[in-house]
Formats: sequence, C-alpha cells, structure tokens
Amino acid sequence: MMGMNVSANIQTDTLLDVKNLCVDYLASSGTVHAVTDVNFTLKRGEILGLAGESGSGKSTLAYAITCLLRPPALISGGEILYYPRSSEDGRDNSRIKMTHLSKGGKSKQAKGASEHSIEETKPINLLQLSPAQLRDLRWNDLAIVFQSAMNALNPVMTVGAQIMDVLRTHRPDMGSDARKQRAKELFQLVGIAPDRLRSYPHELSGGMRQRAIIAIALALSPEILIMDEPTTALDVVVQREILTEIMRLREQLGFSVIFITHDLSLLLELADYVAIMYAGRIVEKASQGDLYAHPRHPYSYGLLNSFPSLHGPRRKMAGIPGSPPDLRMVPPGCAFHVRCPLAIDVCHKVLPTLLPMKGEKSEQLVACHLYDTLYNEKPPTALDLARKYEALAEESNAG
Amino acid sequence: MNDIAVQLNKANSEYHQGPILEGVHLQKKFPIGSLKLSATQRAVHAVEDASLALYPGRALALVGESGSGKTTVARILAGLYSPTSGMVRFRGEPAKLTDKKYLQTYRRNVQLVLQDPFSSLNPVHDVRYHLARPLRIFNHAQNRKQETEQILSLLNRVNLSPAEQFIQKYPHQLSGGQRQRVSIARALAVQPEVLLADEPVSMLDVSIRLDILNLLLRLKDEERLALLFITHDIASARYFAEDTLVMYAGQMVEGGPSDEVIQRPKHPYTQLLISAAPNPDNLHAQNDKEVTTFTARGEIPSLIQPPSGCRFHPRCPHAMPVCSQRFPARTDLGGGRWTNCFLFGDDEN
Repeated sequence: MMGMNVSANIQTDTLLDVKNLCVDYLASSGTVHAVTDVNFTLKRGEILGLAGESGSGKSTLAYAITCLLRPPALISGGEILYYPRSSEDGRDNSRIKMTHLSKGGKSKQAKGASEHSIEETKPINLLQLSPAQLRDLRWNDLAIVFQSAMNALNPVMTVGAQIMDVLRTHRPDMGSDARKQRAKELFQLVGIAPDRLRSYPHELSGGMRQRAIIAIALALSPEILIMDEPTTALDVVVQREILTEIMRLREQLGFSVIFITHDLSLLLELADYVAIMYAGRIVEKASQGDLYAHPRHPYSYGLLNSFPSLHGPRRKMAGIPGSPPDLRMVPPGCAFHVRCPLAIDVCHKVLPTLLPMKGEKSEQLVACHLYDTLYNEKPPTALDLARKYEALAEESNAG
Repeated sequence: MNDIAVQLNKANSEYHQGPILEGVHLQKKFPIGSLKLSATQRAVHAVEDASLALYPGRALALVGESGSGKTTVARILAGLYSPTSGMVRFRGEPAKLTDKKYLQTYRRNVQLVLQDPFSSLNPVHDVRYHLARPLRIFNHAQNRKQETEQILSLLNRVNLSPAEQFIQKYPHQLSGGQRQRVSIARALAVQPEVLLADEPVSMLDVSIRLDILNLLLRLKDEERLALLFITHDIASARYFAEDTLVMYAGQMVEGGPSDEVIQRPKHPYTQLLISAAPNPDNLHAQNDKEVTTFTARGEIPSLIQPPSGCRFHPRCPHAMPVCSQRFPARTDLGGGRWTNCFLFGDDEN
C-alpha cells in the first residue's frame, strides 16, 4: 500500500552524500591510503552495494561513515553529509508515522538534552559532530551490522538483554514492559521466535545470531543500515534467508542500505546501485542492470568473471592476474594498470576520473582511460574485454 | 558399493582402469561425554553412509553446507580418522589405515590440501623447509642438491616464479594465494596419485580463487591426479569437477555428472542449495521467480540426535510420512545420475 509512494520519493531524496572522502592509516612503515577521494550519494530506500577485493577500502569506508575510526586511522579530507528526514514532510505516510510513534520521545529528548539544534532540513556533516551528537545519531539514524555475528554479540548477556540495552540507552523514557514488548516485536520482525530472547549467543546458530544482530540494528528504526559482509560467514542457504529477510524489511520499513561484500554476484541480485572499489578508489559506479549487462572497467569485468556461473556453457575462466597493490605505494596513474590486460601507455601516467561515456545518458560512470576519447579512439566493448581475459586464461593454461 | 563404479563406467571409457581410491559405506561417529559408562553412549553422527570413488585424471566435487560431514569424509580418506564402519579401498584393495607402515606408503599416494593457508604453514619455517620435509621423508631426494632442484621445479609447477626467490621466503611474506600454492606444492612433493582438496579456495580473495582452481585443473590433466574437491560453492563444483556429490547432514543425497546435477537437480535439498546460490542471471528471469522456488527454512539439524529417516525431511517441502521412517535407497536415474529420495522411487528389495 505504501510501496508506490515510497518509491516515488526514492528517486528524488538524497539521504547521504559522501564527498571527496579520504582515509589514511598512519603506520610507522608509511601512510596507508585506504580510501582516496571517494564520492557517492545514497538515496532514500536505496540499496547501494560496495564491492571489491580485501584491502580495497570498503570496510574502512563503512567505518568512516559511522565515524567509528580510531587512530591510527585519520580522515584526511572530504565530508559526509547526512540529510535527515524533515518532520513536517507531509508526503510521508505510514512509515513515518510509525517511526514518530517510536521516535517521538527521542526527537524531543535528544534536542532538549544535548542542546544541539540539528536543523532537520539542512544536511549535517557527520565529521563535524561532537561525540555526544554522534552518539545521538548512531543507531537512531545510522546502524551498522558487522561482519561476524559471533564477535559482535556479548557472550555473557542474553540477546534479549542486548536489545533492551540499546532501547534503555536511546529511549530512556520507555518503560521496562514497553522495552520488552519492542524486543519481542523486533525478534518477530527478523523471524526468530520471541522466546529465544532469553538465549545466550552461544545457544543460537550462526544464522540466528546474524538475525539477532539485524534486530538490534533495526531497534530504533534507523534511516541507514550499513552492512559489512553480513553473510560471509554463513552457509548459502542461510545467507539466502537473511538476504530475503533484509529485502522484505526494507520494503516494509523503507530504510536505505549500504551493503559491503566481495561477492559481486550476490550484489548484482540485491543492490540498486553498485560501486566497485579498487585500491581505495571507486573505479566504476553503475546501476545493477548496467553493470551486469556491460561492465566497463576491466577490473569490474574481471571481478564479475571470477565467479563460475551455474548456467550456460562451461568455459575456461581466468581470474585477475597478480594481487592487489600495497596501499602504502599505490602505483601511479590508474592503480589497476599493473594487472590490467588492456592497459595502454597513458594508464601509467594519468589518473583516470569517474566519467560517463561520451554521448551516453546512462548513469554508468567509469574511471578508465579506455573509454576516454582523448586517449583511446575506440572504446572497448564487452566482447573485447572478454577476448583479452580469455587470451590471458589460455596463456596461464600454457604456462 | 560397486554401483557407483558401474554407473560411472558407462559415462566414460576412461573408467575401465577402475577407481584408484574408494570410500565404501563410510560411517563416522564422534563419541561425546564418555565419562558415564552406564549411560548409553552419545555421539555426533557426522557421517552416516558415504560412498565415493576417485579416478585418475578426474575430479569429484563433494558439495554441502557446513556440518554436512564433507570434511570428515576427506579426513577418513586421508587416514586421519578411522571410520566407525565401512572401509577405504586403495587400488581395489582394502586400505589398512591403522597400520603405521601401511599408512606411510598410503600417504605417499594420497595427500591432503587444507582449507586455511594461513594456519597450515608453520610460521617459523621458510618455504624450503616446508617442501624439503616431504621430499626427505619419502626419499625422493638423496642430497641437498637434488632437494633444491626438486623444490625449484615444484615451485615452478605451481607458478611461483622466480622460484629462487620464493624458496627462502617465510609464510608471512607471502599472500594468501601464494601460501595456498606452497601448500599445493607440498602435497605434490610426495608425488601423489590422489589429491584431497578441502575447500582449497574458500579462504582466498575472489580474484585469486580462479587462479588456484585453474592450477589444480592443469595439474589434474598433466599428472593424471585423482582429485577430490570439497566445497560449499556449487557453482565452482560445476566449473571444476566432472562429477558432483551432494551431502546433507552426513548422508549422501544425490550424485552424478556435474552439469546434470546442477542444471537439473532432483533431490529437494540440491534444489534448495542451487536456488539459494547467488546468481545474477536471475536478473533477466523475473526476480520473484527465484524467491518462490526457495521454500525450505531452517538449518542443518543437530547431529547428536539427527532426525530419523531422511535427515532432510523436517525442512523438505515435499516430505511424506515415509520420509521420517527410513532413509530411501538409492534410485538410479540413468546416465550416472542417482539420488536417495522417495520422490523418485525406492528400489529397496
């Protein structure tokens, strides 16, 4: 019933705008440039996927957005703008009413207590908030689900106590009965029997623990849910269940998701938009359909073709040669040129920027000189990419 | 027991030389809480009835979720666990895996590659040490000169070049993919005929996985290795192996040529596994289609008190009363395909 309305809003409403974000780790052996000059926007109700190999900076990016990075990590530049939902926004329907019921206490409470007046219609730069303001923002507006559910739950507290802990901290005016009621609701929401609230984490299976974590993340109906490899440690069947659950909850509650994973095939099913990261930079940004139909960046193509498919002809496949670069000494120019089977001279020297392809209206942006008419007359087609990678497969086969 | 062999014979003429390594009705229980002598012994029924055969130059994939018993099968075949019942046959003869002398010659032919290259190499020793030990133990190298030569050729075979540099590196100086290559080289040093690979790529980065799989495929073809490939990723089973077996909670539920099993799964569990696997091709088919095919819920049951009969029946959308009473016998579907499911008949007689 609310689906239509929400999706109409999704197109226009920006929720999070990350601009020129840079994160470094100051190590004694040299500065590690984990995230460099990253830009993206997240719209309301959208699922944005971040994909890349380990060490491509995707988790660092997630931690930076939640301002959870501690030294030696340093956010060396950029801003993260958050656009909170305006409370006078009449267009919003059942979903906002529901959150207002649960958030009613908070918005008064938060503003009164911490004396900061966040102008609800203006963007907030998360990087300039005080710890108290951040504490208010986290979990209310921005929740994160960490990679391994085993370590994210406290082993000496029951899962119920851990949900109620969140509620007690952020909703001090909520009575103990109301808290219990909310905890039960949340467990039902994620598909666990409410009587498991009294279980300790070790009494739950991996999948149930992950569900419990999602329940905790959703406790205060956040606007943004950041999921850092939420299903990597789980079996495929359980993974599918959790993902179906996330999709259902998003339909129901209308939050936005930043979904981080190395499994691009998973992301293509799940996300609306996908950003591919390599060596701390976004190298390609495209809608799910565009990326699947024609990945442009040679790295995206390689990543997409690192997964054997279930259907279609069985063919020889090649992974991407070499390994990810040391982020202390990122190669000059395009960082991928060392491993790229299509690299041309200019790739060693000039850093490519995210650009749409000339004469094309699509939102597919790629940072690759091969698609820039300035350097390369004829941009490669998907077939050209395939051929180069196939040649590589044969070469490695012979060697 | 021989029925797998017979069926596979039809599929490929290569089989005429027979399987090199076979597991016949393997069963493994791990006793727990053995302090109380009076009480009936409780046990984890890790593997109930597993039969499989490996042929030279062919790869067999064993697919299942965690807790399905696939690693236990590999360890039984490697001689690390002794089976509670059933037997291992090597070159057609029963393998005496409890006999230490026999085990040494057995291990000369059957080698295991472990999942985690970060913990399977000793951090205080260099690559030379890791590769020299099997060479010495199995008398492949008589002196240090031969040893170095053989190590260098091993490193080249697993595409670690320049080999002269890698020989003196320590595990912490290697990336995950390079470590796994060293593990594979270590297994190859023995000059085995059978390689048991227990999730060899699941700990590695996505872009490196295919490299390692292609390396194993090349070795299989060049050296006519018999490969057992254990994985939870059914798509890579299709890529890698000629034949696929599917295990659920210690029982083998379906098997046959990989393409057949994966394109036209018969057993409800195989269907579940395939519909759950990430598959971007679903974008073109309607998205809601694959959601509807996914029906079963829940997880692998406790193996201490496993469900009676077919262990999948509590999750199975097609479960019938008979499913909880006894485990269905194997039904031959032709073309090397078989499944243990009452939906396709039960040839028990």
